Amino acid sequence: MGNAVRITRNHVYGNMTGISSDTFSAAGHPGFPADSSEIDHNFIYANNLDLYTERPPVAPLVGVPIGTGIVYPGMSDARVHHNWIFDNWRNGAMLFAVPDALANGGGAEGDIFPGVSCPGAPANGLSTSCGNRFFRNRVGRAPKGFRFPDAIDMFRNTYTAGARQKKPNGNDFWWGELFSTNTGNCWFGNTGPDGTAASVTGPGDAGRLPGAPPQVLPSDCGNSVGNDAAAKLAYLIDCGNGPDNDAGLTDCDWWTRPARPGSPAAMSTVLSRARATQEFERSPEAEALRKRLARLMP
Amino acid sequence: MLVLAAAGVALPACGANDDRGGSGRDRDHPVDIRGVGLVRGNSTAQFANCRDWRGGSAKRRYATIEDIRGQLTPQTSETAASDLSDEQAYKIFQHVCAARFSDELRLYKLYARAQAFASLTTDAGEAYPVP
Repeated sequence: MGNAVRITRNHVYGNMTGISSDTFSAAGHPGFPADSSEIDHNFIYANNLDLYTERPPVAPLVGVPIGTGIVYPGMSDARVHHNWIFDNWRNGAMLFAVPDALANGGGAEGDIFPGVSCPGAPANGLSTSCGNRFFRNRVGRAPKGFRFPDAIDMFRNTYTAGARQKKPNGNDFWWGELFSTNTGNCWFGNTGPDGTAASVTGPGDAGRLPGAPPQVLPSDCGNSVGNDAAAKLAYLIDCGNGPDNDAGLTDCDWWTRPARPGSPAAMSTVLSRARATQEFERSPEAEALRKRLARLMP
Repeated sequence: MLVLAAAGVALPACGANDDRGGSGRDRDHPVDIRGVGLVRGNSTAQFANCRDWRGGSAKRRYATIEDIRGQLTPQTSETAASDLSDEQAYKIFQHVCAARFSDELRLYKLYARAQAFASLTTDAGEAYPVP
């Protein structure tokens, strides 16, 4: 965790997750919540390394999702812009909240400066995941003339070879959309594999209108609010229990390499998981989870 | 090299949970056994990993959990209580550390993430039940 960290003009490739800045594993860390990160003008691609294998060539120290460009758990006021983000087989970027009540040891060490991140924080107990902006990124597509570096397949990393510019991410922008107090998160001016905004994918399975995919990433920063997505919360809870081999349709899938985007296997998985999460969103278990969460909020 | 159990060495890890829900030991009676893994600053919390976990006895594993829980408690907290019971943490470590790739996984990171969502879970050591 850190504040005002800038990552610019790098090539970030061949990892399980390219960039991760997380608040919720930093117990009582000064500077809570993480904010004002800037990731700009980078090339973030082919982070599909699988180290959750029998004999990993590099031993993983922490659990992160395979196939992901950027992970922001509990980040506020970040700016992610003018990057090329492609060929990450799970998600180009992930953003989700961590309520103060769920942060380790019950929240921050010391004071949270009022008004820095989320409106009403820290009094309302939700200091993370507000005001993040993802804009003018080119996703699911490599620059013209791009060539992967020689080390791209080191440690058996996988990638989409060939000269075609289209190199889709599994999903471009995954948004947790967990709480209605997650305000000001927005995605605008991004272009997808075909060069248009319409080909950008997100925010991931389920959400406010679980029966009516595809979902929409909010582009209006002034009116963006979270959607109390219980299925996504349940998913993150399962991911919080660490790497395992559970393979149910609503289990955390971070620990296995996703199928190549666009392949029959990938499409089948996406549809199956979407149906399962939509069903969960309407289930008594989801309602119970929402109630439990509501009790935690001030 | 692992440090063997040292009688009379009390962990400086803010004692332990209160007794609510049977989720830990009495902070007035800290364990007298070292946790698993490399010792730094009289604690193994920073470096203990799954390989260490597998090589430890049940007593040393619980000492590790108590150590980590104490280290992850904010200084302003009056107790080292956690929504994640030591028994839940033990089950999670057992589950994750059973995998071959887990040798180097840091236990404190596993603990921190599980603890973060513990208040939303139900059954010991399990995530909120999803279909």
